[in-house]
Amino acid sequence: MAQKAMIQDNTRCIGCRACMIACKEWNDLGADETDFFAGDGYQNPRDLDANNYTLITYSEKPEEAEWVFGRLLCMHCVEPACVSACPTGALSKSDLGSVDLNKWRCIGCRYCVQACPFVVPKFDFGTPLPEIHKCTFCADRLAADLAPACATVCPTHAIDFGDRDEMLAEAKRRIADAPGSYVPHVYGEEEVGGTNVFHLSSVPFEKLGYEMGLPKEPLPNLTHKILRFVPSVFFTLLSVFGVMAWIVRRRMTRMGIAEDH
Amino acid sequence: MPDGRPFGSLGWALVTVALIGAGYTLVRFAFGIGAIANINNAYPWGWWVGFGVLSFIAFGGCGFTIALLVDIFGLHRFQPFVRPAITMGLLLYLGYVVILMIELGRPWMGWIIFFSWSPTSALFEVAWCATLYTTVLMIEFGKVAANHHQWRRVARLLGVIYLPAVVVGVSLSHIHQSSLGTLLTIIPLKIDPRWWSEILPFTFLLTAYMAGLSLVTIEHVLVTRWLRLTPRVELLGSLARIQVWLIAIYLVLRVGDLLYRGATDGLFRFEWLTMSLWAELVLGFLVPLALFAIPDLRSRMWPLFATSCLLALGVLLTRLNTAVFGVEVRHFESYVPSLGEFATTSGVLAGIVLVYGFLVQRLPIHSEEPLAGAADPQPVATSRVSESYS
Repeated sequence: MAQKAMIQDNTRCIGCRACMIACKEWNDLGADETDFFAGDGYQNPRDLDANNYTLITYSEKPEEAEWVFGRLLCMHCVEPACVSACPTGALSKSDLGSVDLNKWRCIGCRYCVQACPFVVPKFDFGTPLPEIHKCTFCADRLAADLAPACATVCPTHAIDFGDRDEMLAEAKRRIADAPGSYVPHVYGEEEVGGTNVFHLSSVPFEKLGYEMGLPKEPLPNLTHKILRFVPSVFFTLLSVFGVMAWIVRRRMTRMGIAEDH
Repeated sequence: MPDGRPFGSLGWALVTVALIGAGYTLVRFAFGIGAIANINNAYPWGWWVGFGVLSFIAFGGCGFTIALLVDIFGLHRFQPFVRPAITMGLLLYLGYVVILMIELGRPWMGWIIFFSWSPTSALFEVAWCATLYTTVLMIEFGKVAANHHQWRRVARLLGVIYLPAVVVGVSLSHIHQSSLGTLLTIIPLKIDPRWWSEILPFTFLLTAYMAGLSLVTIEHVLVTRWLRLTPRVELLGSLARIQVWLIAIYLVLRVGDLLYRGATDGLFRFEWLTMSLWAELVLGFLVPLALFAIPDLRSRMWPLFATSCLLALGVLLTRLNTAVFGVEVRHFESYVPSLGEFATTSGVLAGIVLVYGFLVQRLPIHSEEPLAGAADPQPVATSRVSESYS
C-alpha cells in the first residue's frame, strides 16, 4: 500500500481553525479552559494537549503587522523516533504512513515525549490515570479509504491529502509555479529522514516557530548503530568472562583455597 | 534492637525523610504526577530519571565492578568488599524499581515490557538487563543470607549457580550500564552538545565503575567506623590505584570527544551551565585523579574517603548535567526540579540506608576484625564471619 501524506500549505491558511474543530469532532475531544498568554504566538490554546491533537499557530510578521499561520500536529515521520524509543511497542508505524498509538500498551515512561524532535506527544501530568495523546492521522478513517478529518473541512484547500509521492511532487510544483509566494523549502521532505506531513510557508519556517536545525538522518539511526552491537557484545563478554572465571576458580581449587563468598 | 547499635538520631532522621517521601508518593498516586513534580511535556524526565534512575544505577554498579575484579580477574584480595558491594547493589537496584513505580505514568502496565519485543528501544534493553541483573544480585545476596542462617539446601543450590550467575550478571551489567548512555543518544537536539555524544555508552560504563568503587570505599570507611572494626586501608589504596587508571582513561575520552566534536564553544563564558561543566571535569574528575595518584595520600584513610566522595559527586554531576541541567528544549515550558521530586528520591535513598544499616548488623557482610582497644566492642554479626571464612 502506498504511504499517504498531507500538505499543510500555510500560505493558504486563513486561521479559521475548522481543522481543529473537525479533529475534536472525529476524535471526540473536549474543550480546554484557557488563559490568554503573551509570548511567541497568540494562538489559544498555547500548545497541543490531550484535547487538541492539532493546533493553528498565530504569529505576527515583525515589521508588517500581518498574521502568518502555522500548524502543529504529529508529523508522522517516515522513521519515527518515538516508535523506535517506545519500549513496549505501544507506538508503531503503519503501512499507510500513520504513527499509531495503542494506549493500552503504554507504561507511561514518556520516552516518546523525550524522543520526538517536534515535541508532539503529550502526557497527562494532571491525572492519576494518565495517557499519551497525539494526532492519529485519523488512521481509522484511512482504513476506510477516507481522508483525515482536518483535510476534509479546510475551506481554502490549505490541507491536501493523498499518496506521499504525489503530495511531495505537488508541494514542489507549488513552489516552482509561484516562487515569490513560497520560501523554497518543503518542511518535512528531509527533516529527520522525511515525514508524512509536508509544510509550505511564505515566511521562513523559524518565524512560524517550527523546529529548525533538524538533521537529515533519521534519529533512530543514532541508537540503532549502537544497539545493533548489543547481542554480539553480550555473548562475547559472556564467553570471555566465563572462561576467565573458570580459570580463576580452577586455580583457586588447585591452590586449595576454600571458596567462600 | 536486640543486638547491634542503638537506633540513634540519625536513624530517626532517615525514618522521617523516608516517611515524607512516602507522603508525597501517596499524593502522586491520588492526583497524578503533576501534583508533586515539575516535569512537563517539554522536560518529561527531569530529576527522577537523572538522579533516581541514571545515578542510582551508576552507584548500584558497585556489585558488578567488585565481582569483575574478584571473580573474573581473580583479584581475591578484594574479597572483603564483595558482600558489601552485592548488598548495596541489590538495595540500590530495588530502590530504582521503587522510583520507577513512582515515576512511570502507568506502572500497573509495567509487566508488558516482558511480553513485548522492542529491540530498537534502549529502554527495553535497560529494563530487561536491569531486571535480570537484580535477580542475579538476589542470588548473590541470597547465598550470604542462606549461609548465615544455615539453610543448607538453599545454600548448596546457590553455591552451585553462584559463579555462572556472577558471569551472567557482570556481562548484563556492562550492557545495561552502557545502554543508559545509549538511551540519551536519540535526543541530540535537546541535550547541550557538551554532554550529548555518541560515546555516551562508553563514558556511562566508565563512570559506573568509578561510582561503584567510590561507593565501596565510602561505605567501608563509614561502616567500619560505625561498627568499630579495623578498616582495610591498604585495600582501599589498591582500589584507588585502579581508579587512577579509570579516571585517566575517562578524561582522555571525555576531553578528546569534546575537542573532536568541536563542542568547545563558550567554554569560558560566565554562565551557570559552563561552570557546571568545569566543576564536573576539574573538581569531579581531575582533582580526584591527582589526589589518588599521590602514594602518600593513597595510604591514609581519610584522604581516600574524601577523594572518593569527590569522585562520587563528579559522577553524579556528570549524569545530572547530561540528563537534567544540560537538557534544553526550545518550547513553552521550563523546568526546575520540585520539592516533591527531591523528597521522593531522598525518601527512597533514606530507606536504602536504613535497610543497609539493619542488614550490616545482622548478616556477616563485614569480615573485619574489631578495632583493637575498642572500649566496648559491639556484639554484631561480624563475629560469626570469621567462622565462615576459616
